[in-house]
Amino acid sequence: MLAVKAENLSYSYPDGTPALQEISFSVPEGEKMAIVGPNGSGKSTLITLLNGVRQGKGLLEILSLSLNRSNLPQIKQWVGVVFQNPDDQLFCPTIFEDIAFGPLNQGLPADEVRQRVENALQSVGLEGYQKRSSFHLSFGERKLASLATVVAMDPRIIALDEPTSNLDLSHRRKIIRWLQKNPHTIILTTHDLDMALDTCQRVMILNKGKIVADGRSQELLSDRMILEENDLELPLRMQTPHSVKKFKSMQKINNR
Amino acid sequence: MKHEFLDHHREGNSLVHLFDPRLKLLMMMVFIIMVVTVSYERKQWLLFYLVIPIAFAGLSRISILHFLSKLFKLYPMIFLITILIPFFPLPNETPRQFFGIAISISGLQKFFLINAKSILVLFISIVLTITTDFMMLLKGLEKLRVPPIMTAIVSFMYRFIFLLIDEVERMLMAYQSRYLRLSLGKRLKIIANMIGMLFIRTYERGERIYLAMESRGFQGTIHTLNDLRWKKTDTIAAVIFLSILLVPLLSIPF
Repeated sequence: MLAVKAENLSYSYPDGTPALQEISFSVPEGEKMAIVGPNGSGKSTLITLLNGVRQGKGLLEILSLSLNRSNLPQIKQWVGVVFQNPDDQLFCPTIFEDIAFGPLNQGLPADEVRQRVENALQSVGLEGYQKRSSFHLSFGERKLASLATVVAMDPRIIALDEPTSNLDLSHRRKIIRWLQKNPHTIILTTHDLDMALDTCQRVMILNKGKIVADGRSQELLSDRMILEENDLELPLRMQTPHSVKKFKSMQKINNR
Repeated sequence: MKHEFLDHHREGNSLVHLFDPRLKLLMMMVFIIMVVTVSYERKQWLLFYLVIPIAFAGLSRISILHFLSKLFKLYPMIFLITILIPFFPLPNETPRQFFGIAISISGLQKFFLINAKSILVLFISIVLTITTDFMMLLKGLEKLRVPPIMTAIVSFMYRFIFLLIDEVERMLMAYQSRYLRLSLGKRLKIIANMIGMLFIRTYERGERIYLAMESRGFQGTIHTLNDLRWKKTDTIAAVIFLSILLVPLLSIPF
């Protein structure tokens, strides 16, 4: 089944500036896709369109359910969005309340909610953080906690806006591992192309609201031309004298 | 931990910490009503009532100095508000002269009464709020039928006040690192701009938080798990508290 299917999807900001212009793509269930592109290319907007908190023009189907007013509660349950700034996602006095917020809105019984909170914290490696206040946590911990708020809702698709931005190396690594072992369909935006290479099979390049390229991450992220045309750079690990010249030799390096 | 001033003693396992938050809130309200209704003729009752917050402070096993330091941060405001009262005599009263200054005796009595009552009310509020986990306090308020919108506002404020302080600090730092010497007028203008910016940023943050809430299924009501349990010790404490509070009433002749 297709997790996401978009056809001629457009979105303009309230002031009329177009953010996305007639983009079409589909993501099969279980696939991990990274959306890359320069600042202002519409990546974050696309993420917020996915669970209907913003609504664009054109067709958007989530797990074969088209996005409209009556399907909205179901779609919000299926698509969990992790926003870029954890301070926007953690708005309750304690981490427990923050993580319980989604499950409580789903109308789950108290015991189930507690179990969900515990499991979600465990999945991101923050066991025992229930009673902590988010303003006492480090940025990395807050980022992990904001992942947990979405995991607790048991979504089928997780959309993340720049999951590794501003993180130190150890928290970046934690998030990468979490993404790798996660069985869900994952759609994320990022500027961290090495992370995209580590976690996603597929990459989509967005520029000025249009899809410029879409393909396997190994291939697309080693194509220096297309990356530089879109104000991107080869991922660090691709930047060896041999790999830049020829795609073939590059694959060898990656298969090592 | 940068902003710990609010949370210092919230967690503890003394008797006072373990009281149900509803009990604390109710005791506080009853105490405030009793204190506020004391008239000047029965001013000695106030001295007696002082026993209650001191007992709570003692039971909480937190140094009394900690409570006093909080009290002295809040009290000056009340002193300033009431300082002018003794200078305004009642219409049919002749003020007395002290070192050439006309002072009304009834005003002076009122001044002492208000200040004594305020100190008592502040004292008990400080003791009971400092020893209560913030989340528990909110849940207590919720159980006491305070409208959920109010508790939600308080909860958001508690969460975001620190972010706001951080934001102001960052702005001030950016400003101080670039300004050299400016006239007062220009500086005021910059500060006014900063306040405007802060307002816009706060507004935008509110917008983003709302998006995050909506995407987690928020539909207008905030649900919380309320797991407060009224214990036997709470009932006993309530009875003891009320009987102490009623002792001075015995002195009134029937």
